Formats: sequence, structure tokens, C-alpha cells
Amino acid sequence: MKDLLLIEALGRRDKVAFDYIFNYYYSSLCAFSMQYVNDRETVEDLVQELFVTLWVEAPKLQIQSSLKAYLFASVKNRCFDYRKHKKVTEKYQTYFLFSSESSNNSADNYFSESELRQTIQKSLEKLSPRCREIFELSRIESLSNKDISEKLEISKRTVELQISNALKILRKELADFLPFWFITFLIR
Amino acid sequence: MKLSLSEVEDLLPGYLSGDLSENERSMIDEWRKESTENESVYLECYKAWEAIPLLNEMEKFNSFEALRKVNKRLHENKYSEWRIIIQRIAAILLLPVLIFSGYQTIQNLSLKKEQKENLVIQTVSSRQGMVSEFSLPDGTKVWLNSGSELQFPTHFPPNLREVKLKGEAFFEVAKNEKQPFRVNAKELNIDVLGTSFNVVSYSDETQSEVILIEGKVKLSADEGQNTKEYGTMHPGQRAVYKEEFQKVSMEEVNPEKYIAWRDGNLIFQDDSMEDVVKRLNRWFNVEIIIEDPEINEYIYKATFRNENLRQVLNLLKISAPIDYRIIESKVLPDGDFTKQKIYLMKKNK
Repeated sequence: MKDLLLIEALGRRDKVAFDYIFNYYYSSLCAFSMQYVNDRETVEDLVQELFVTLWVEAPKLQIQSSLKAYLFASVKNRCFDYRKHKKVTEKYQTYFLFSSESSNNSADNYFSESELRQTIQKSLEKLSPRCREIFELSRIESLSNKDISEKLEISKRTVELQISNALKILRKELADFLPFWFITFLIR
Repeated sequence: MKLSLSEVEDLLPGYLSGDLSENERSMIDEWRKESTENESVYLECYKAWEAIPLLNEMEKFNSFEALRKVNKRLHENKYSEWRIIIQRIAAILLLPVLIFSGYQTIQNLSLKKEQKENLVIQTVSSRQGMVSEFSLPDGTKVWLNSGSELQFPTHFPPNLREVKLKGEAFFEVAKNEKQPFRVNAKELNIDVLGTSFNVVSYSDETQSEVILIEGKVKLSADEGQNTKEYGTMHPGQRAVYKEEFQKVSMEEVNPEKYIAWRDGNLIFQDDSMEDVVKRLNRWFNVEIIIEDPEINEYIYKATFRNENLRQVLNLLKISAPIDYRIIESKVLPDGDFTKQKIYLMKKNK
């Protein structure tokens, strides 16, 4: 398995493996941490700190689960430690509850930026060209349904129908992929 | 009125973008509450709706820029990394009789180079059956007994040299009156100016002890929130701190037998079998079980030099009416090993 090779390479302090892991997970670890510590700079510090430790401790690391699960669990702990330090618990109490309920989710549900991009791309390819165009205008360009209907010179009703179709297909494509924490991330 | 799934799917885009009328909105709210299946259909749609914005969020973090920063920090840490590696290897390789003297030179050199760096705590541990010898950043020499662990910063702050011990160690503290030396052994604190002494403080025991060879040390203990002073020790004394009673008792001893482990020797001098067994357990990483409580009371006097466990047991057998049975260690399903067990019993007449 690729994971095992990476962990083994880390143990040998293989810098190429380290850089690979870093680039692969950095942005998703940051986005993931944003649900616990809502400050971009702090989050980046915490994640960078984690990788420095990963490098220094690599030879004696024992990763039972997957590397992915290890990274996400570690960064979550770091976020909690940071918050304990900062005493900002009250504000985030509700998310706490939410995420502890979902913590039994398997680690395979975590993902990296490149994995997410691929999955979204693959899902979008399943849409008809028109449907895809409308959905992209809505979600990528952040246009309102009214703006889209004006831009494409179609009725607002058609826009709504196409988006509804897109959601029908996408939700099935993404159902097994996107993790539960993702939802907690969005309900902020 | 109940909504069909296709009606719901029609309305969801507006629901998600906030375009629905009040009435339609509450219809969807109702539908979500109807069943858990409905709610999970909704959550799936929600995920699909927000997947692209999440990807955008991730793309705002620049991993290449961040990696550059991390590489810079790793480079700064290089010296300390090397030292940690060297110490780990040394801790494993150093047998009681083996003195790795070049290592100390390397350590002192690299320590001077990074005095300016942040306070980093490092841990040196001695594997079962081995004694490690090494120097702290201030020149203090430490012998760490089998199965013990010492934590200390890569360089000491100017006002205090503080180390944390789990297990047994012998210290030869480098003299520096401006920078007191302190050993933290569970609750017990040992404050030192410049001297040599032995500390025994295993986490599976309810007591800690100090044997002073030379100089002076001051004892105190952190009991709950308070720190209690326990006075000063003089050379040749052994102090035992009992956690349950929060009391220190002192006695005059022959220090030799308490520090013989440094040279790989095991000395028993009028010690009860109970103590002998405790020390053998640590020394050989085994579990000795006394089947007959009467054996506990037997008193021993013996010196062992590099003898193996069987030789030690045979000698015990000669000097008292006891016998032993060895249960070899087994491999557990998780790949771990159980400890070798030895049962001690009275000899059959």
C-alpha cells in the first residue's frame, strides 16, 4: 500500500516523501482546522507545526491507522490544545458536540484537495453540458439564479430545474466521498 | 400536505440559495423533520451544493509557500536533530561497561552551537538491561539505569537547571552556584548546588529515594498545590519519601551498594527477598512471583557482576532453601511479548 511506503520513507527521513505528503494534505488540513480555530494564520501555524514535528519524530512514529487518519487526528488535537490555551471554548461548544458524534466515522472520509478536485471534476462530467454550465455559474461564479437566467437568456424556472438535476446527480456521486466533518464545517 | 421526493428536489436549489418563499421554506423544514432518511437526502444535497466552495477554501492555502517556511525551520533544527539521533543510538548501545567517550565531545560541540534556540525538551531513555551514560548541556554527568527515562531541555535557562526523572539515575552535577540544579522525581524535588547523588523514583512504586554521595542537597515535595520543605541531606545518607504518608525518612547507609549498578554490578547487603526481587525484576525485565510469603523475609547478601538471570537464580537457590520455575515469554496476538515469569517457592524436602 502507498500509505505504508510513505510512512516507511518518512521513517528514513526521506525528504521527497515528506514534501509529497506536505503538498498533498496541507490545504485540506488547513481547511479542516478552520472549523475548530477560525483564524487563517493560526491554522497555518498549527499545521506547519504538525509537519515540523512529523519530520523530527518520524523515525519513532508508529502509525497504526492510515497516514491520513493520523494527520487529521493530530491536527484536530492541536486545534483543541490551542483552544484550551486560548479559552475560547464557549463560542465553539456546539461544533464540539457535532464533531464528537461524527468522530466514529472512518478515516477514509477525510480527503485532500487533489482528491476533492478530482471527485468534483468526475461528478461534473456526468452532467449534461447545459446543466453543468448552469451549475458552475451558480457555484463557481456565485451568480444568483436570476443573474444566470439573464445571462443565458432562459427562464429562472429552467435554471432552478437544471440546478436541481445537477444536485440529484452530484449528491449520489459525492455521498460516499465527503466526510461528516464537512457538514459541521458548513453549518458555521 | 406531504411533498413527493421530486417536488422536494425541485425546491431544494432555492432552499439552499435562499430564494424560496417563507411558505415553501417551512414545507422543506417540515419534510426534513419527517424522517432521518429525508434529513440525510438533504445533507447529501447540501454537500453537493457546498463542495465547490470548500475546494475554493482549500485553494486559498498555499502549500508551496508553507513548505518553504517549514523547510526553513527544519534547517534551523538540524543540529538538534542530529544530537537526538546520536543520543538515541548511544542510549541503546551503551552497555554498563561501554563508555562512548567521543559522543560527549560531539554533544558538547553541537550544544554550544545552538544555545540561542528555543527551549526544546528532549528525552533520553535506557532500555531494559542496559545503563546509559551521557552528559547534560551544563556538563553534568548522568548514568541512567535500565528502563529509566530522563527529560531535560536542550539548553538550560539562566536561572535554573531542571530535569525530570522516571526511574533510577546517578548524577554528578557540574558546579554552578548561580544556576541551581533540580531533579524532579514525581512529587519529590531535589535541589543541588554541585554534588553527586543517586535517585530512585519508579512510577509503579509509591516512594522515591535519594542517596547522597558527596556535597549537599535540599529536598522538597509538591503535595497538591503546596510545596513542603524536607530539609538538607548529608553525604552517606539515604532519604526515602513515602507518597502515601507524605513523609521523608533518613538513614545512614553504605552508599556503595546503591550506586553499584553504574558499573553493571548488583549488590545485595542484608536486603529482604522482597527488595531483591524488585531489583531483579527491573534489572532483567522479568516478573518474579513469590509463591510462598515466607520467602519474603529471607535476607540476602551477594554481589553480582554481569551474571545472567539463571546464574543469579542458581546462586539464590544455593544460599537459601528455595527453588524456581521459569515460564518463558510468549508472543501475544498483537506481536508483543509477555514478560518472562519466574515462580519462587520453598524447596521440597
